[in-house]
Amino acid sequence: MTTIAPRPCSLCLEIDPDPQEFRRASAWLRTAGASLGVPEEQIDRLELCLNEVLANLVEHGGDALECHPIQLELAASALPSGFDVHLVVSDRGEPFDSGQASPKPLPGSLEEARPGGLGLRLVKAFSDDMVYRVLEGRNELRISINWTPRS
Amino acid sequence: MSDPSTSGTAVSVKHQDLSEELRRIWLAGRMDMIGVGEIELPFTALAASRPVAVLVDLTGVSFLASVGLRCIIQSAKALDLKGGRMALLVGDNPLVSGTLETVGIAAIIPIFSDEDAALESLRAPAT
Repeated sequence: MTTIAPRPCSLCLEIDPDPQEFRRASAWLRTAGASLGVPEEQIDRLELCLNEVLANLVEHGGDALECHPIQLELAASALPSGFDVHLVVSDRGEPFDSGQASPKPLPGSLEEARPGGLGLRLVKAFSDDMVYRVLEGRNELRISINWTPRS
Repeated sequence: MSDPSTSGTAVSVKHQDLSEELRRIWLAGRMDMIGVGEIELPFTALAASRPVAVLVDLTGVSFLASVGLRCIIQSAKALDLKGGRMALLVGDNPLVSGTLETVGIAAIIPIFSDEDAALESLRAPAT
């Protein structure tokens, strides 16, 4: 099977900072990713990252988040060694650089297991790169996933 | 994975008592923040109400976010406190098994891809 190169393009969506919007965002991601030629298994990875980032925003974004929509942008491009798709999540919530944050250690037993920290571990594991910056008062988190063509 | 705008989004929880000491619970659908909110109470009640062995069947789960993992872990802890134990069945569900593997669930709750092996493990005396 040969992977088709993704079409260089970007697509955008705005959602309210509300869990009810997460499934709309997921549906948009899957449709937009398919239209850009991103393989389904890579969209699966990115969809999990998107859900975790949105859940984190709603949980920890603070009051400022509630007054402004969350902006999503998806773009795909060719790299010298393969292909890249990246999702930019932009919001006005509390600043948080999840790329620099360290996930909690894995528990060794049920007694040690504590809620929280699983989402960050998933995003770091399922993405290939995360870049955070603050631009014009908005947090921007860029999550990248790379893949190589299969033949 | 199913399209979240169309199929595969409805979550469900069903159970069957295979014996006095062994209960099987099927979770299915999309276990995101919305889905887990719908099944968390009935699932916890089924999983952690009695000191029995519980097999949680995740083969029908189309999406598993961290909120779903938290729900499973908390129920496993509650069951453990009551003297019961839990195992997870993933079958041939690579995204779900990959998610479980990533967060190291296997170290605290046994995971099986084979149904017979999972049931045999739970029927064996606890060590």
